[in-house]
Amino acid sequence: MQFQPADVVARASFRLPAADSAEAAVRTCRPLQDELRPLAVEARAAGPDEPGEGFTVEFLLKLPAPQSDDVEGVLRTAAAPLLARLGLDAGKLDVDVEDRDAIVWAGDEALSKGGTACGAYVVHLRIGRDPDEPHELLPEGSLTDEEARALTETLNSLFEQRPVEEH
Amino acid sequence: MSTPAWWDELMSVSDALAAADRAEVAYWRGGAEDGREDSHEDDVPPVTLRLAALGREFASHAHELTAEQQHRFLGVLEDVLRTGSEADGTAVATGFFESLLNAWNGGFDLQAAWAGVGAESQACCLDLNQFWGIESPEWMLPRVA
Repeated sequence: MQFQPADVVARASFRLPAADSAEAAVRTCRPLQDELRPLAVEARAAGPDEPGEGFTVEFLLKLPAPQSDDVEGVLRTAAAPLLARLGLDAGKLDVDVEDRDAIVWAGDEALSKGGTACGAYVVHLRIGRDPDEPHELLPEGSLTDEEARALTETLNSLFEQRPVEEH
Repeated sequence: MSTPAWWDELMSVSDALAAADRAEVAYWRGGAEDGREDSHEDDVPPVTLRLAALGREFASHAHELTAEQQHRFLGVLEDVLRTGSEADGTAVATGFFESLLNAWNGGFDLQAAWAGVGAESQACCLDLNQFWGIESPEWMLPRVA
């Protein structure tokens, strides 16, 4: 899914330990879907690195956000209403300004129960793209001459032929 | 929520299955099948739910579908699993095939349709059986050449 550079995109994950199928898990989240209007809803069996058992439902959301160059401010402002609704602590939002993303987990007590009252256990946000997309290895846009030269030198040093050691 | 690009191809296979999908969308919107006037085209159920409904319909109407229709329908889903996005593939697995396996558990003759299920889809069914702790019968297992 394509997003504008200034969009704040979030993935909110919910645990549905009582659901006996992905379909049941998605149907259980219907009230929240109507309220939050996600762009997409995904469901899968809980993975080994996720709290509890059962199914996980994930909402992909585009959040209203202020127009600003202040990355941290934009992420915190955009996240606040969603986190309040889901019962997550906005004060624990961990912002990475360089990666233009942020993440917050439910507290230990909530995690031990699988999530907050509505089942939310983690929200991940990123400016300009889906938080699930892999990080770019190269910066967006064209490289400057200096950046291109540095990249070429680095690649050459990585791939240059090394003498074969004799055993 | 948006509808994936491959949906039209899936719906072109069978009028009965297409009608079942329209009914699912209408149920989601809480209105008649022709939809409320204020319903937006993106006001549709998550793909997982639509595919789960189609899994049930496929099972209950399998005897009305020709072999060619079954082959085409299952072929679209196989293509999604093979080359579609991870999200679409997960929806096919947890929506359609989970529902189809539940129907099998309820008496649907999955074995009769199994030959038309693609290799990736068959592997998906075996994974789901494993996840649920269900032993897959001999006819579901890949044949060793």
